Amino acid sequence: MEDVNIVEQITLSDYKYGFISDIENDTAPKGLSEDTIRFISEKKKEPKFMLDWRLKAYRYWLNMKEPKWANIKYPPIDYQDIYYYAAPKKAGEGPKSLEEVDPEIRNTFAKLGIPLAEQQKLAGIAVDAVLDSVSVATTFKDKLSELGIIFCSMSDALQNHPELVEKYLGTVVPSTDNYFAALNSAVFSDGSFCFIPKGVRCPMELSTYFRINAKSSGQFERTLIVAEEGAYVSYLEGCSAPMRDENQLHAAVVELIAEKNAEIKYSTVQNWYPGDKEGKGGIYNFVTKRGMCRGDNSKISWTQVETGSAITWKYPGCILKGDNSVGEFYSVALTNNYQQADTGTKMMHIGKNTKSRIVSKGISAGKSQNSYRGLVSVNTKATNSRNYSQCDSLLIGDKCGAHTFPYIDIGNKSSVVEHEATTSKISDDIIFYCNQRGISTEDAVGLIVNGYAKEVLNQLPMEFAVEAQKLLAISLEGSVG
Amino acid sequence: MAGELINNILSNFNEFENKLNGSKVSAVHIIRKDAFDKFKQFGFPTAKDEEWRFSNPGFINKFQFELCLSGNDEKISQEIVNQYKFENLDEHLLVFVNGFYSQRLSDVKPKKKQIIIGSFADAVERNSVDIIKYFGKFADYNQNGFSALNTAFAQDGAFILIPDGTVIERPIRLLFITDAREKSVLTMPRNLIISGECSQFKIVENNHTIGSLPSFNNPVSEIVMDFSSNVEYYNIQNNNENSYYVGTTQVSQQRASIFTGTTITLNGNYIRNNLNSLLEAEACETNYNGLYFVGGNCFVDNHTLIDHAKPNCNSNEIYKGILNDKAHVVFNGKIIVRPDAQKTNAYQTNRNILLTDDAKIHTKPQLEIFADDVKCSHGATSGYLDRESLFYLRSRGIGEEMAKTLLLNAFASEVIEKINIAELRDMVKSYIADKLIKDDVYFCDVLDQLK
Repeated sequence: MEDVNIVEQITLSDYKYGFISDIENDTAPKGLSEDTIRFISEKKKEPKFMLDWRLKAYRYWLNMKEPKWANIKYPPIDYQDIYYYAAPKKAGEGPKSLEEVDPEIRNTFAKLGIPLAEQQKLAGIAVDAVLDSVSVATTFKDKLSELGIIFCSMSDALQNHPELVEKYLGTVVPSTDNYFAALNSAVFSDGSFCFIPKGVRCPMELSTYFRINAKSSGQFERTLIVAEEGAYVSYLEGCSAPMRDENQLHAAVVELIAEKNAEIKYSTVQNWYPGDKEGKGGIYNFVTKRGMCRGDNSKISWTQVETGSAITWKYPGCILKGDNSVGEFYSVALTNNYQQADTGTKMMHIGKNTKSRIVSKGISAGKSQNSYRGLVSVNTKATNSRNYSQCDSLLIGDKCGAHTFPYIDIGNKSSVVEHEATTSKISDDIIFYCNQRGISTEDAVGLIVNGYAKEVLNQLPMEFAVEAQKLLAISLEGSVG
Repeated sequence: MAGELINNILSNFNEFENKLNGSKVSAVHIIRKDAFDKFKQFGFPTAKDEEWRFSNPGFINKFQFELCLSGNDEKISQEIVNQYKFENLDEHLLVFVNGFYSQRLSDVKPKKKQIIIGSFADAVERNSVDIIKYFGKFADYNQNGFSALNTAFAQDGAFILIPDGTVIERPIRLLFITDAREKSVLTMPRNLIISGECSQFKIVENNHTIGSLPSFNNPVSEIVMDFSSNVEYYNIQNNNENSYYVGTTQVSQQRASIFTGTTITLNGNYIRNNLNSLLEAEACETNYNGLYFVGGNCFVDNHTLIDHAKPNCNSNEIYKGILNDKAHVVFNGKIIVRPDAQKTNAYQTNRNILLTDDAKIHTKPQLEIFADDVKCSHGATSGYLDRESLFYLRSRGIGEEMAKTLLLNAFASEVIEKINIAELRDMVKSYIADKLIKDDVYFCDVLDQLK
């Protein structure tokens, strides 16, 4: 059967981002304790409130239990067998300009297709690249600061704008929110901080690139984006990791805050190493992402393309607190081989006339399991709210699974909520139609998958859309010629 | 879980065992004992269980329910039974008082000797079929405290055996009367329904409580369907405001069988329906129709599961609801398509209309698909009446209230029209029409038309 071959070819495609950069690392001792946290905090020269906050989170975490409700299976994680801090070794001071950045690191990013220097000239995207846990270089900082925009690594933000961090950190995802958020709060080592002042429309896309490089290290980054009244920002995030046999942990937290009339657009292409064909290795991606539409008429839009990770556990959500606020969630999740994804969104309607829209496209191939888990909750006071959800699943091969767990809770009469979901395989008719017009089955599958995901890919900024399409192609290689 | 009811139940079980004398060692009782151990292990579920998240059965500790260990129908007169009869309906009537069969009040007239429409206790005693082949084999008591409890105390209920090739024209009605005039009671009827090859029949279940004290009914029904049989199961729930109900119906379907389960909920205090079908062979068809039209402080939870284990089966599920006052409704519809079950078609819809801001709906249409060549879809909506439809009617000179009534009737009729027993359909129709227009004398004309 030709179909069987295609499925096999898909299964046999390789991870193209799996190179290892040979960089000297400055690591904290393995394991987690209050000392580790003090070490991280000291290493980063953090203000006192930060250390207290971390320790509080850690003490709370100690009494928490790992959540078991998700539709995923994995062996127990030994939290004492992880390096919680791995930074590329610096000679004294941090780099002042791009030229000072370790050439090895620069090569890493060049291989990833993010040449920092080039991007400065050509693409016009400001990039904050985070390698393992530490921010390596931030481009375009000067140009942004003219507008009053702060875009820097979390550690810099703690040095230069501690009052802002203290004001906003943990207001959307409290340190006690869930198991992995608490862990992240205790040990996060870096991340991006982004602040758009009142009335400013950020002229360029802001972008962060995350990469786990060091062996048996975990990555715990924390991103905080604040858009003040009337501000607008579009933020991109990309991730990858080298191929390793053991599983690595990634537990990030992202917080978005949109004040009155502000808009945040958050796009991510997640391409962590998914493990090999036997399901060995790969990243455990346990991420908490949440946005708060705090002011009236604010808007938060999440777009995600998930192709990587051995396990994905991720529910970017929106708290629609302000009246007339809008939340959006667009997602493509592709799983292959033994990957498991349990992902979806939460839309909490609290303000009046709030609107949300969910478009989720799952594609499962190989022996993977792909779940959509979503919550749409409309508060009694959230009158005239509106939600539309659509979650479709596409199955390629007969050994994979697709699941949907939508929770819908409605508490008033004037709100309208609609949910639709379908599951199907690529129909033989469509393949036949393509074959008949001279398109091979492989090309046809690629065509259909891309068409199927188009609704979401269209939401991505231009540069990312191209990358995302390539990623889908790589992940389904063999079927796209 | 140190509730008073639990303690009572523990001592009740000893009492129950002592009463059994010789049959203590019977195969049926071994299953009861096993179920009782299971119940002791997990007790009643709480809101921490995912399946009971919104339907916390807190009432079990609120009232002093007394478990009925033996039947006594003396206090129930024929008038009471007549009160619950449907107009013009020619039926086989089985009456149960506090969960125990009452021959005096029942009215059964089967034509053939092989047809058994009678009591479960009788069937166990006479072992009319090999009961042990069926009892507790389908309704899983390893998951749920309520099923385990019912299995542990399973004594009486309905036993229906329709032999191969038999078609029963008259609907079989199971009328459960709970007597809560003197004390709060807990009843646990156990029903076993077996349909032979190519047999065909309809069953209607009703629960009614007399008296104003709280009553708690915890029935479990096992329906075992053989090749190409066709069973329609109607559960019409219109009990009083002090009634609590947790019912489990487990259907096992063999090749080419067709099961249609219709659940109409109109009143009650706490109603939890677990309706599960396992499609064990190819070419089966399962249809679930549900309608809940509730107000007051009524709580309704419909948990359904359609488990596609074999290829080429179809399932259709439609649940619709109108929520008034402070009604609180949960719908949880799960469809599983197992790895072997290729060419499955499974469709599910849940639509809700909220009439007030105090009403609440939690809906969770859930799909778990492990096979690729399937067509599955689900949809859920919640909202108010369509403004454009309202406008359309009003622009044609129909008053707002009347337009609303018309639209709500139309909304409900999609499910009502699926009822295949004319008398039953008319009853539900006029009940809903009545309830919609109750407060408004002006629309008497409309009422007549709708009826």
